[in-house]
Amino acid sequence: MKLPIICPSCENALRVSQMKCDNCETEVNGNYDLPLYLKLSRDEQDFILEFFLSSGSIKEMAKQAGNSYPTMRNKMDDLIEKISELKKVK
Amino acid sequence: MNWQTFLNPFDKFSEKSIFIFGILAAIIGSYITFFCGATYDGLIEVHLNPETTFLIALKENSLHVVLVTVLLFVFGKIINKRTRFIDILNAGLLFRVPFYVMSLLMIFPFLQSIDDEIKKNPEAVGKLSFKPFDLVMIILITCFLIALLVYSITLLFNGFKTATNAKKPLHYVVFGVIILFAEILSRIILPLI
Repeated sequence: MKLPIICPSCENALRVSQMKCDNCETEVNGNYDLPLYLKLSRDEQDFILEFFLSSGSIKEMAKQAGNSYPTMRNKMDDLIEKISELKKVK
Repeated sequence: MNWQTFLNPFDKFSEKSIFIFGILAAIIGSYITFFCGATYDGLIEVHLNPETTFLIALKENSLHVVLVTVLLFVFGKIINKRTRFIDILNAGLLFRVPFYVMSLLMIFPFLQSIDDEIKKNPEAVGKLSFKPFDLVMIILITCFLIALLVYSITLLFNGFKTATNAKKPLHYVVFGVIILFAEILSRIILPLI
């Protein structure tokens, strides 16, 4: 199931308020910030995962995705910019 | 190939494929230009000139590719230091392809006869009369030529945008200024070489 990260009502970023152990059903309540990686969209998370799995080679990723190198590098640059902004806000 | 790829081939194809295609297109396009008796006496211009040789056509094409490539590469480096020369060069090479198609249109006999009439008496341009069929063909060819011109600028713009990741409106304005500047430069340089 897809983890929602944006409030469907006001479009603000969601926070973690409850976690549960599937084994003993212990529940932890609080007000936790989502990890930075989870604040990214599913596509962006997949992009980072693919980058990692291709040993950090944008060229290899571009080949696999059927895109050109500059298109992939632009995606990477946009993502770096977004993560830098998220880190600043944090 | 879908519309997106047709308008922005730089998104999908590798730099190597585009480069090989662009170089081959430049050589074949220069031959077409010579065969059709056309000339590129400006960056975004095509005219008839029966004295054009293959080498003149190749020289004009090369100058236009070099001009846009150098100017856009310098600007690309300013806005994004990761801009690669090959990506801008590919944009410059593909930008010329629609012009080769424009040259092909020049072989229509009635276009050549109109050109001869105008050359004979340039002041009587407004008094030229056309047969209805010729007029329809002129309108159709003009529309096609405009579409090709728009397509060539679109290719250059998309190539530049993909190579530099340019997003700001100011980047687009400077891009337009560079095209105009390259047009002026080509008109100054062409008679000198």
